[in-house]
Amino acid sequence: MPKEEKIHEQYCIFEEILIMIAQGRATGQIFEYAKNGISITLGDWRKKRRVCLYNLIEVELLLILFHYSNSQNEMIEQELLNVLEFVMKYYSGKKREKLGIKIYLELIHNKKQKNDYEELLLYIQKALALINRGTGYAELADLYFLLGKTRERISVEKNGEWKKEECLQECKIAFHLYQIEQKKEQADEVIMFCKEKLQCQIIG
Amino acid sequence: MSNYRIGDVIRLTRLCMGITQEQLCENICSVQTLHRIENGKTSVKKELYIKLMKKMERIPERCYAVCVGKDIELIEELEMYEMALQQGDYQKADHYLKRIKKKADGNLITNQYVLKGEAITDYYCKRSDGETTIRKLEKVIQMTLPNYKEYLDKKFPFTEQEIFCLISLANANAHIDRDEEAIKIYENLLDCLRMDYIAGDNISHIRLVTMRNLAVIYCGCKMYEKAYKLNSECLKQAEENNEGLKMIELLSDKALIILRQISRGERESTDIDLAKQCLRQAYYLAVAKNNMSVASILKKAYRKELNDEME
Repeated sequence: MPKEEKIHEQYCIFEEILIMIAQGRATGQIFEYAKNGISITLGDWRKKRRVCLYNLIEVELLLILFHYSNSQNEMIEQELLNVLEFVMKYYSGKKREKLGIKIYLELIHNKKQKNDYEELLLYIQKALALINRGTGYAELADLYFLLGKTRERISVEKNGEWKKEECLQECKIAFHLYQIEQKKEQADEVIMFCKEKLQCQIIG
Repeated sequence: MSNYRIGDVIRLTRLCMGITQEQLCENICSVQTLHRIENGKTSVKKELYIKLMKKMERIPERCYAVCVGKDIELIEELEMYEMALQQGDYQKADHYLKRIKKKADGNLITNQYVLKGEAITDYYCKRSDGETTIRKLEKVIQMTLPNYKEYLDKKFPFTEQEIFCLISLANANAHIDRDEEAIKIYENLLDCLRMDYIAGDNISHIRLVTMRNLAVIYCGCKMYEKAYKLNSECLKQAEENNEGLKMIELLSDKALIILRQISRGERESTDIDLAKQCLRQAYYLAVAKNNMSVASILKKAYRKELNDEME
């Protein structure tokens, strides 16, 4: 490794983390390693600062940090939102779509774990809007199904307004997209959900 | 802008000219060097590349990646122009093209790009008829390939810009019912593209566009079996490339091919369910992509073709 080469060092740490993840190493260990990796170029990422420029490895490391974090994740979430702002401002085309979706999926995963349905709904809608600005369609099926399920959860747990028609439409979209992708198991899951929760039948 | 495997470009051009490695490298470099270049085992210097291409009577300039834009503003306008073309907003495309023309340099490749654009926008803005558009596009291609027709019969390594010129030429022919000419251009282009001499993601998109357009023309000429086979290949490619907008077109193409085959007795009438399923999938993908105008067209097509309402 070249001397005083921070970027190179950070890249090596990132690759080592990928190996650790593949080996199924402990969450805390991966988190600490990612934290060290990110501090090489960003210093103390918890210090509040304005949006800055990030390199690709910093973005990847922040995503890992967020994925493997627990109590501290509100700060990382803010950092991730800064990264998102950066990606939307400075990237374009497929690169923006790819990286933006990756960040949204991580935020969605986090909100889902926390059962924070309002925030979850917001991030799903933003992710869908981002995909629909581009030409791709991967992730659409999962996102629409999750959108439908989230609406149902909000109505049950938060006594929110029950938007059954929207929910059914989102499930239909998910079902047909799973069919295009030949994901039979997931398509069947949509049918079951509609039958049990919406008392509706989807015809393929 | 694509990246080209330089060794493949030299090899394919040489094969097109029908000359041996020995004949090409005479007084330029050793056979061994040329062999290594063609196999991608060594890099080629610009001077050597120009000498080789000149010997094969190619215009060396056509082979370099030339950025059309001198500044960010021009690149942004290029993006706006391409987007307007994709959306079929030809008045807007025409507007951006005029701005690009004012700002662009006089480079051969840039001129070719602008003139191709003009031929297309003139046609769609009804300033030229089909015959004139074909003549214009032929002239545009001849700017870098004076004898382009000769190379269409061979597996020639056309540049990305030349490929798009040829696609436009094929489409212009198809628009005025010269299907045979359009099919010939597309089939030959496809043979060239299957040689994989262009590196990166662009090649699969270009190949997909070529295959889809050819399948549509086959369908128009009632060559349904060929159309169906090519459509299946396109669907696989679109899935691999994550091309949602193309997927919508391909699924509706598939439904129409099946329906035509049924009406001609080339398929069992029970396959109508498959056609219905394809149209439904195309419709829901359009809805998922929030492309409501396309979704509405598909809904109408479902009603018209199947005499039924989409659920």
